[in-house]
Amino acid sequence: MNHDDIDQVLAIAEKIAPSPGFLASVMEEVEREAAAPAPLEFPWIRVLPQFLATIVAIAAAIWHAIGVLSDPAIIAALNEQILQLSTLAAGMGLQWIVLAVAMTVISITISSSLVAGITRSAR
Amino acid sequence: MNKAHEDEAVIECVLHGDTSAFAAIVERWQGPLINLAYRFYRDRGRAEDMAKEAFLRAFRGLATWRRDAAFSTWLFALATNVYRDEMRRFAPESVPIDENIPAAGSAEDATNEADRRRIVQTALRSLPPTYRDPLLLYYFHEQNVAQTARTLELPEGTVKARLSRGRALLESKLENRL
Repeated sequence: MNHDDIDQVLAIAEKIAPSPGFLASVMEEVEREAAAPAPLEFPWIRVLPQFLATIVAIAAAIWHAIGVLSDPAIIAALNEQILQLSTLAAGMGLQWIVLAVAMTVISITISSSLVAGITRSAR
Repeated sequence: MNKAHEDEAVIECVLHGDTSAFAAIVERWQGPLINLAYRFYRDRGRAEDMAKEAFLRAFRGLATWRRDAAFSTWLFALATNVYRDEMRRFAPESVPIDENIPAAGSAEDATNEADRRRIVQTALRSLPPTYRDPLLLYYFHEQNVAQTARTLELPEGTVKARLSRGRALLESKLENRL
């Protein structure tokens, strides 16, 4: 079968007429939909003050953190804490656990994307 | 007043609250929308259900129709999306043709034109959606590439390429069967 034959067959379509009740059934649904109450809108006006208060609180926290971190004594104490924690983590072999988790995540991501690519190209 | 302006006037009425005016839109477009759905599903009941869903979505989204394209273009694009989504949700991506088409020489061999058409339609629906949809719409729009491209919201060049590849695939599927 060549292009012309396919064209010829597909150009002749079997046509169907709508059922007698089709229009009425669509309009029934449309009327029902129109009569339904409008969905509730998100109460932006009520949320706005709390949203603004959250932003102010976050800004204040950041400002405070900047103030604390500018103190050399606190920075030195933090460094000491971090050093202690890293020594503890090294003792527990944490670096190997992190490496294993990272390798797992990378291999799952690569295999998932490969499978997705194969599925797409098969379509 | 031409048909396009009639549609626009009716839509204005609907948008101003006259829901019953939408009946004129359904009356005018029910045939094309049901027949377009029928090309996808080859099932009358399902075609009507999906055309109804398309009309409901059109009613809900009337306000989003921008006047830069004809209402029919917008309606066909919306309906096509509805039908394709439904095909994706409830049907396999492509029907394996070998299970649906009798081999040449078998008892069910294509002995007449109706069988021939059925076999070609089954082969068409067995294509991947990327090629199946442009072909379905191209013949629905009486072989008009521009209209097919508008309905699929794709560039004409892309549609032409997919039509060509789709036809080649169809030809290879139908080899030794008709």
